[in-house]
Amino acid sequence: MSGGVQRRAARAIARSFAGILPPDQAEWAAAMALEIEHVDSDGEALRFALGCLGAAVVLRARRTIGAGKEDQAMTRMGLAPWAGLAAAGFALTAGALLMHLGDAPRSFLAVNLLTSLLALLAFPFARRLGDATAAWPGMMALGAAGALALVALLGPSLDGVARWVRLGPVAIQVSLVALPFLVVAAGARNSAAANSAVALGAAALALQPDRAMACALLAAMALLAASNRDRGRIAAALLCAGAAAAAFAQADPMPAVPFVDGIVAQAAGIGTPLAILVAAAMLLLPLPFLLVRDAGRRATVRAMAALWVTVVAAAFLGNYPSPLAGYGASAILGYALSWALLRPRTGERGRRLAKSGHSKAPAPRGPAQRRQAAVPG
Amino acid sequence: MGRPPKHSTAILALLGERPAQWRHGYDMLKATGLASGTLYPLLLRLAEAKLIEARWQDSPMAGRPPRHAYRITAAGLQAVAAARAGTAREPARRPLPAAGR
Repeated sequence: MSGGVQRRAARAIARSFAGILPPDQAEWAAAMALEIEHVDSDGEALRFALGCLGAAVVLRARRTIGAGKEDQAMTRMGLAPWAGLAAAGFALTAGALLMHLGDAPRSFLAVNLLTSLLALLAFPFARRLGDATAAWPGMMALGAAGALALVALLGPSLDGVARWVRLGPVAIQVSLVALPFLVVAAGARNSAAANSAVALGAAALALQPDRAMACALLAAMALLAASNRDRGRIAAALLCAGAAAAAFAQADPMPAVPFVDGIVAQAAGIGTPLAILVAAAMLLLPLPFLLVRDAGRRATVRAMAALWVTVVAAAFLGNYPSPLAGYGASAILGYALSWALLRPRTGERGRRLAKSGHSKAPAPRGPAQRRQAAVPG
Repeated sequence: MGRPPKHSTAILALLGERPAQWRHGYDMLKATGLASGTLYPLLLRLAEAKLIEARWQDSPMAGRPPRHAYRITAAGLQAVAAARAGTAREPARRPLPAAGR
């Protein structure tokens, strides 16, 4: 088929439609592309093609956003993740103000800022970890517990305490990242593997020792065990209680690290309003979890809230990291991971989208795709 | 069934003029004055809502590719009727007072 420059440009644009639109809308991609051949003038054909290109982009965007909204509608997370993001932002800002007024090393602010950006950028990938955790909870839980055990047994020890791994200049407290995995895995499926992993993780926390995180895991498991009173979960919760007791039985010689531990008291030394701001910022962190209305995952969400309530309480009561408001990449990553892991399973989303008429699977090459391939070059 | 938006109503009204007739996208574009970027998303949405149906038609001219054609359904005719009824019920606008009063 011949045509002027504009017609050929229109055809070239038309060949992109099939790549932009979802597979189940391939027929419409072909419809727009082939209609170009019936437009009267070349100039009009180009305008037609450009309009259809915009339509394809808008349709694709609607599908992507619509799928996200369906996710939220199905899980009823609603505004909760945004509230979590706001709470995190508030805590980070309060902490940044404390660091600025308290003359903290600039690297503290930089680490918190860069970690926050990393957490935001990596969030979509982290949601896939949520899919994996929901699909293979035992395996993911064992991985998290194994990481805790490795740190306890082989990690660098500071005054007899082994909770961290070094990533360059930054020390990561592994438990703040591993415990969200344990909570989601234990909540996803009541299996021997997941419960065993929780017990292993609790034992590792006792060995480290880490009273705060041992209590946090206990709080989460207690809620999960109370939700269905299953023997396996109750046993795991009891083992967590034993581990917490063992952790408390050991000395915890760690002194408060400025801008990490006891930051409310540190802020009070600068000014009461700052102390109130920092305290309020940390107290708000667990609340967004309570906004999630998903009845099917209520126990898991509440367990996650209990985890973060305990982490925040520990920061007020002892020399334990102040989450997000204090210096430390671990809590920032752990908090972001907590939200990412609570995302619904991709499998569920795919099945529900399929029921509503949207298909995730690529459509087989049918007449529409063959017609699209027939768009003249 | 709720009233469809303005552009959708225009498309349905056009197809409703001759309900048995299949029409093509470019023809509808010229008749309604809508841009292709507006027209096709609406056609897709109307088809998903079962207010119109779509099918491929071979071109009568040799060497020309097939065309996607559209026709209004019974549900689409009802939607047009509902839209017209809703328009008929809207109160007439009050004339603005003349300047100077």
